[in-house]
Amino acid sequence: MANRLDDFFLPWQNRRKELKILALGLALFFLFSLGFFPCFFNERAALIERGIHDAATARLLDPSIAYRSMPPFWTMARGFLMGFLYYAVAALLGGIPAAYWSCRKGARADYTLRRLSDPWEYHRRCLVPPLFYAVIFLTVFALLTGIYYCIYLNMTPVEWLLPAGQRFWG
Amino acid sequence: MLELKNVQKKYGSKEALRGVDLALPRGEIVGLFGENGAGKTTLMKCILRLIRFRGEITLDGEPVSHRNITKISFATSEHSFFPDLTANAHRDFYAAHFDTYLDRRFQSLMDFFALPRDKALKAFSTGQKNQFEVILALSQGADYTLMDEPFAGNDVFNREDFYKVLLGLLTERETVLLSTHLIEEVSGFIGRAVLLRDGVIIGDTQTEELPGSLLDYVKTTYHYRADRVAKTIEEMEGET
Repeated sequence: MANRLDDFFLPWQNRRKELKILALGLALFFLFSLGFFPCFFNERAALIERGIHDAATARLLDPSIAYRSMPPFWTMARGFLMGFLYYAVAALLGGIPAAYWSCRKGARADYTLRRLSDPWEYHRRCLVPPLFYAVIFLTVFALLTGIYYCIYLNMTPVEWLLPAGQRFWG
Repeated sequence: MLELKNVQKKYGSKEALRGVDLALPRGEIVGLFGENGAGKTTLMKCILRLIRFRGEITLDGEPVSHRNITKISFATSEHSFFPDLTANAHRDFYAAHFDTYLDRRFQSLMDFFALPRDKALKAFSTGQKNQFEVILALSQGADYTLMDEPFAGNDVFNREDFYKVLLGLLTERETVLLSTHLIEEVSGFIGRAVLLRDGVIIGDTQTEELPGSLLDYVKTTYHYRADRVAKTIEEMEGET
């Protein structure tokens, strides 16, 4: 398994180190994304504090007040989840050129990698790691967005939610 | 047989190769000579398909492709090894990727040049890097080895020793195409000399058929003007 994984990295890349950095990045972005919850609960509490809703019954107390619902999900979550997207884009826009550049740094290692019997080996080794990182971050981004949205829907009384079409984006 | 037919290469408007025809049978050490910019490096890169070109290059009758590219190895003064890896890591990589890899040859040459095995290549001296580049090319087990100025930066004793080793270890199946400016130095080791000028082959001869020295042959074929230095100095002196 180790050897097969090595075939997807440039020969001089330290696979363990790379994966450790990936795991650390994921952990940091995940911790940061948890900031969504204080924001969500603050907004929720604010509706009660301002006397718009009854905390016990979730009833709307004063329909004349314009701001009477929870903000759309994305308005609250965007700042805490976009880091995953930025990382994925950086992995693609920065990681791929960096991988090709590393094949020309100090020597023309690309000459050797392009002389192998597998015609795709050179490009595979340069493209797969950044693509892999981008896919991982995009997947985690999608998963967390889905989970957080479910929490938002389930922990907000229906009366406090915006109409169905506006709940996510606004 | 490695065969080039009407190989042409342009860099923008500059013609680097202008219809090169060349056949390299097995078991020859061929010297490729020419001034800077004559097209020697370009010719080798075309053979290895590292750059696009027009014309035809075949290896034992088949176009050079990923199916037979491992029959050709390459040692270049630009270096094609992986600077962050050790010699032993290179050995592992070559053993895994080249079915014909010759470990005994690798070990013998490493011993001969007394190169460190567990030190990253980037920490080698220039001379050691050149030696290792050549060791890798010869250990790949290829039928054709292309060497492009492989000893730039090595001392004369080192080079001399290497030519002797090269003669001793090559089998009759192996062909070496050696591009170098060190004409006199390699004259005793090569069997054939190919001269390139402005992207055209202007001379191709077996060295044993030469009436004089290889250097004389190169100078004559190149129409070298021996008096040009004296003339230039004379002109400059006239100005002052």
